[in-house]
Amino acid sequence: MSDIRVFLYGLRVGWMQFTGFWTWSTWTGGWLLRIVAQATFFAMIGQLLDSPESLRYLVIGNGVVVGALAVNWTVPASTWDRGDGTYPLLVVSPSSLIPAVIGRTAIWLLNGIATSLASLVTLAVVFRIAVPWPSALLIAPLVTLICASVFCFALRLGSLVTRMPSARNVVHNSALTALMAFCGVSVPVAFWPGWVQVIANCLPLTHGLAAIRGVFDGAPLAMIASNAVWSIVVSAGWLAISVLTMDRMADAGRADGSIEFVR
Amino acid sequence: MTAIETVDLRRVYETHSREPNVVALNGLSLSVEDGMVQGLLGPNGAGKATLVKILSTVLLPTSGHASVLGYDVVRQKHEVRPRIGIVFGGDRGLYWRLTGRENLEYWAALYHVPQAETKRRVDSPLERVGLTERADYRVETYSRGMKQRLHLARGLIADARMLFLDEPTTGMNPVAAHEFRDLILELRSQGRTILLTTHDMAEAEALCDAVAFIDRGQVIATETPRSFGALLRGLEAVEFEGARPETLEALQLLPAVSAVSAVSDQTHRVEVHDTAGVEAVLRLLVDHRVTSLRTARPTLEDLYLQLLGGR
Repeated sequence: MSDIRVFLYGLRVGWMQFTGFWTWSTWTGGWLLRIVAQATFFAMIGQLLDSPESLRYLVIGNGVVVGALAVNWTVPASTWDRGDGTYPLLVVSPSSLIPAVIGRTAIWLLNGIATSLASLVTLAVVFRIAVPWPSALLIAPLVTLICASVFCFALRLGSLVTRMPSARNVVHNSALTALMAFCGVSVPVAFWPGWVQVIANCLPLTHGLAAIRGVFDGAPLAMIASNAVWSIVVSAGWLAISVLTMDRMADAGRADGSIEFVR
Repeated sequence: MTAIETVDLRRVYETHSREPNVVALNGLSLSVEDGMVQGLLGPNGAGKATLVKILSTVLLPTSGHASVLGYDVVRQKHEVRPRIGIVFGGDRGLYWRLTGRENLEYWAALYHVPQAETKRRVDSPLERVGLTERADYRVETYSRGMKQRLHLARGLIADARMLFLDEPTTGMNPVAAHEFRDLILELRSQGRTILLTTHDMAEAEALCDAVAFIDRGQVIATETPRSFGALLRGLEAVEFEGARPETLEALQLLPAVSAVSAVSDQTHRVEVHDTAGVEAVLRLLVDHRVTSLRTARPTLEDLYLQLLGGR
């Protein structure tokens, strides 16, 4: 019960910080417009190729990946408690560090879900990509699943950069590049060599994106469910690694003194 | 019962560069009895904050032993943490976008304060540090002294038997600092043990049952308030302006005077051995028609020179 309260207060900290960056109008006119423009840019490659299949592939992939882009802000956000000087106090409180960190960064998960759904709907309307009914109802839960999966992955990277905050932007951008390149966003996973495909299958976006493509393509429910289950398995794996290593990362900071550093 | 015990405690920061490692604590041994207010006095970089951070489990020691309330701070950190309240001063360590009250509610949740008790446990320290009226304003609107008081309120949330206060009055105005002293005395009367680091010798003299002087990561002396007060008074000095040569000569002949030196072109400083010496110097200066004068408290540096000289 106490962990839930810690999570909710952490979420409030994250929300108050988020609203310090964005208002509703700047989020819509600044963030969302830029993100939709980015996704539209990639989708138009399909239109320039005069290939409806490529257009469809790029619209879905880029409409979804912008959510991952938003969620991946969890990586640098994991270091913000160090910047605030609250990290050592959280570490030595009687509570676990985990609900506090998940709470503070969860706003980026919510931002990712909202960003991805808004982008996907906008692109589908602009490029006239139809979605079979009623399986279209699965899109929102699948987008949520994908964003949650990326969030679990980003938590792990976040706990790593908490040890070395100066690397947060490198790790953040490298992770995003890997997700965009290898997980079937603009190029099918099958395009890559076998060992890259193995890595791609362990990354958080791959299976969820395949499930969403299945929904758009009217694939059998079993195929969609299978990909969704794999996405859950991958998410659970990343979450387990994050949870198991978060306190260890803090203890390593206690040993070398870096727990107190801002950068 | 011993509330705090450290034996040969060392903390070394590795620099990972050509520069030598930094030895923050160099075999520090200290024992604090339960229910005491123990002061830690020392210049910047002496190792006071590092000691507090090891005892509060923020940092691990490089070697040696430290225990709080009978629990080893390395092996039994989960036993130590719920039993201590921590106040690290400064602008950091607070959520600026939250209100003062929200900050304390968050910390109450982190210290497992039951939800039904949270309001009382938050309101009480807010009132005690005089922040009730500003409790629902964001911390980013607080002055430095108000943030310091909020740090203090947060330290009280755990209702802990042991309090670590690291420079708690930094940035406070004189009224708030006076109220803080009353609060410490009240906490002591409740039987709590308090470890207080400070630069302020008057604060240490007024509040502490014992004062440990730390320099270069070691305790160089431990004094009671009485001996500490005598030490301070013995280092008092008189500064005056407009001295004539015959006045300076007369001062040097006084037995209580240990040194007469020029602070600037116009100002001289007379150092004396004891309070009686101050009286004699003042009388002589008035007889010599010197009217621009004042007594000066010893600086921390003076005190350390005295302590190290006597070792």
